[in-house]
Amino acid sequence: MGKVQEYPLTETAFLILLAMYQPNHGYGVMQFMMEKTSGRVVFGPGTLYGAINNLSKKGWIKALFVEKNERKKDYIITDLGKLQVEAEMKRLKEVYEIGEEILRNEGAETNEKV
Amino acid sequence: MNPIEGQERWLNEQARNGWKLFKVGRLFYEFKASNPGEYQYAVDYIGNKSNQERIKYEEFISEMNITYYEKPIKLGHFSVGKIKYRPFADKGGKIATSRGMINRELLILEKKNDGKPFAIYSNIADKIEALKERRKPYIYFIVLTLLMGFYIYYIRKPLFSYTLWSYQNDDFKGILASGVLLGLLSIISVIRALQLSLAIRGLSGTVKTHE
Repeated sequence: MGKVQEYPLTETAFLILLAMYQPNHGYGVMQFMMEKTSGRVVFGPGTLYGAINNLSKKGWIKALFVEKNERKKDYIITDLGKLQVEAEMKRLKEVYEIGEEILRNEGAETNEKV
Repeated sequence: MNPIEGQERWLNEQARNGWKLFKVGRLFYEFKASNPGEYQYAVDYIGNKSNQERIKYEEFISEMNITYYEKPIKLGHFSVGKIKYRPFADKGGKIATSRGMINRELLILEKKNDGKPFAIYSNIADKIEALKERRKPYIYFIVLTLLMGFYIYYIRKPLFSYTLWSYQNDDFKGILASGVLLGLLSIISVIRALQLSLAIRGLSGTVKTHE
């Protein structure tokens, strides 16, 4: 199952995968984003629809059984999806730490000058 | 870009003035009074979707607490009886039957105004993709026009003849009229295709560094 791409995930895909560690539907994903990013990330319905279909096709999320009266379709992340998230977390951590290191040194230099 | 962005702007203006969409027809909109600025609108192109895809998309839209209205645009498809041929559409969407697809090329989306811009596509890659889908019918129409133009030019026969006022077989007038008509239609298509291409180019620069 080493199906992790060498390319970074898009923010859209990454956030949707995170929202689907719990069973979730389109509207729920939207609310998750609003809450977690304090309204910075707002997915357009077309983008969200395309992304969910795409992740489902890749087998990173899967649709749960839909009850007859329940109109909203729930999805949950798969093991393969979790693998992507873990790889992405590792990548983000690395990138974040590089940024932090550089900015810290930059800050120190500026202080010296002053 | 007008059929979509123009409509979007106009509908949002109506909404700001306290008008909520109520019913949409081929040539008309019906509004109901509402609080000014209570709703906001966005217009999506769905002419490339198969009937099944469209239904799935509309279901999803409803799940998102968004109201939708279907609206036709007319461009670049042949109608034979109740079947339309749309060569530019996705797989399964090429032949449109009157059941689900004809006259449902646009989807007007309506939601309560939350103070944020209402964008259907929220990342650059998706925006480019959507613009490309909208450009396809125009490009197709331009190619078709050129083909018809060549046909008229080489065969020297008009596409249609006037039964009303051409008493004698006046091919030249017919050729001229066909040419002028095709020319006018293709100019609009060329302009629209160029507008869309420019918009795509503008976004393509950004997609290299941003999502």
